[in-house]
Amino acid sequence: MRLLLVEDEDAIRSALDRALRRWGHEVMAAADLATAKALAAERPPDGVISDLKLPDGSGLDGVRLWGVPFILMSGFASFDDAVEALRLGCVDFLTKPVAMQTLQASIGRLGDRCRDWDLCLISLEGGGSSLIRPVPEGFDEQQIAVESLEWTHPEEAYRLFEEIGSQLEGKRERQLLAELMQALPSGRVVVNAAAGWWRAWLAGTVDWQADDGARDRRAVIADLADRIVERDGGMAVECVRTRVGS
Amino acid sequence: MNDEATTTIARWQGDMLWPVPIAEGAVIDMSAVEALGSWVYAWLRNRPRQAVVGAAPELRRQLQRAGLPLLWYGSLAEVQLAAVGVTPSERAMLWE
Repeated sequence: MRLLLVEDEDAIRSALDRALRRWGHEVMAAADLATAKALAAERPPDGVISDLKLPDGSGLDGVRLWGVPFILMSGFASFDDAVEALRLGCVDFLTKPVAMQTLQASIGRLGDRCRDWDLCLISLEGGGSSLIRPVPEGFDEQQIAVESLEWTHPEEAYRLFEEIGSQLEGKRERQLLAELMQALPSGRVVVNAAAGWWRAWLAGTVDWQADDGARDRRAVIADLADRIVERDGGMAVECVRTRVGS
Repeated sequence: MNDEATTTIARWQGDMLWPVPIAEGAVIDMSAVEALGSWVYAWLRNRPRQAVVGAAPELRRQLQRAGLPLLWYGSLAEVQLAAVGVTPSERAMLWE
């Protein structure tokens, strides 16, 4: 994986840089947010490992900007920071000093997340109806439930929503699905409910500027989701299943 | 909206994620609302200064974030007290 390492303490950055390279990763190391932004703009990373408190900002700012799986490290983590990191889909929130073994395990999870996300996009761009094709090596299919919902009338969409909605655990997921399904009068949503994650693909282009209703819906979806990727032909929405306050 | 309607309370309830017929009233009691979809925003936006009571903090945050022109009250008693001074219709006139 190509990892962006952001750490202002020279000794820690060097040690982590060496360890990451030893574990077979390509590393782009930065001592501050500005350098990290420049490096990421040049070559987008697969994942980020960042200190929370940086000389020119917060690691969370970078995370919001880059939108890739990330690990945060901090010696002064507050509860609010941890909650915000979780809300943004942080793979791990590590307290410094970080044991190398712990970091290695976290990077393993980061890699899973990266592969998962790539897989999602590859499948979607291919126009497939499932998010789990092709099935990667070592992938436990039993842990994933995929539902493809297609409708041609709003009434049909509602019936389908009622069917699958009852299987969703949280209010947040249920509302997100409802908003997505109402964004298009006819269309397709693919829901992939993995352990701890929930992801949907809204096939079809939505004109969010069309009217206030569409803009309202866009705002709600953006608020409920941790990550939205809009591409030709549709939109992918991802959120962590459990969120404080949901 | 006339002043007689100040006593009308519409009690919304349940999972309002999909469009349903909306009960109208001088006051909307949202204490039994589980979740509210964005489809209802246009309806609320067309009723500026609509009085609302009982919304859970999460729901209130959602509606405030949407910038809807609602009047928030802690309880029905508060609405009635407010009505003694300036009625909703009078208040609406002030803003016209």
